[in-house]
Amino acid sequence: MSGVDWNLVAEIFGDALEQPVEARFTFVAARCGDRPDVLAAVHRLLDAERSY
Amino acid sequence: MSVSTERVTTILLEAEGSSRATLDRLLPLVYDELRAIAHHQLGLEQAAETLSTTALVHEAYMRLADSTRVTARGRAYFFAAAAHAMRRIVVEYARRRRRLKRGGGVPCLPLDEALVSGIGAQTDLLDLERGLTELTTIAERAATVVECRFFAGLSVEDTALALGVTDRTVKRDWAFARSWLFDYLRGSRPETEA
Repeated sequence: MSGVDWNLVAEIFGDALEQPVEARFTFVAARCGDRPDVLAAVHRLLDAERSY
Repeated sequence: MSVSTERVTTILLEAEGSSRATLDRLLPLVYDELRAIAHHQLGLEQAAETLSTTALVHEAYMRLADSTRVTARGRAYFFAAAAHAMRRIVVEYARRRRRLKRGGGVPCLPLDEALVSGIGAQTDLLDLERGLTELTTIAERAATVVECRFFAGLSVEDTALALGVTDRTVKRDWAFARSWLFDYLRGSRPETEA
């Protein structure tokens, strides 16, 4: 298991879903700051959320 | 009223303290009853595809709880315990079927289809079980939310009652867990992007 902070991923993902769709990318980028692992995980979850 | 019904009802009436302690006391009683009901139905019908987890859990509740005395919170505790028991039974069943079929397909038992959109209806239950087990290691409460909703058909409100959290928390956990599982089940885990 990699060291991604899943609590943070879940929090940002939950907050992102409460944003308008067009604002999510910017919102997530701002919240993840210099955490590329968190950013990648949140993006994958958002992509999954759009797919089902 | 049977001895089991009295014991379960008593536990549910006392269920104002720790939810964990209540669930631990309920689990063995609920598990035995659910298992008996499931085996009876499977024996009668020979067609596991007709087994509905939500219907089984409701039948167990009718048998084991005196619904005229149990509060909404007690009922929610019962269903959370039943969800966990149901998950174990479904997985045992899927493993047995796989052994019997020697690598043949594992049937997809009809989890509550309205709840599983995208996951579940066409999902191999043993893959789902692996995903849920892994999800438990990174987000235990979210995995429990999935358990309550998939295996016992609990509403957001009843799940919140059983877990002692707000409806909003359940909705957020549910959204996270569904996306995480969907990503896991499509063969690419979110944590392996490196």
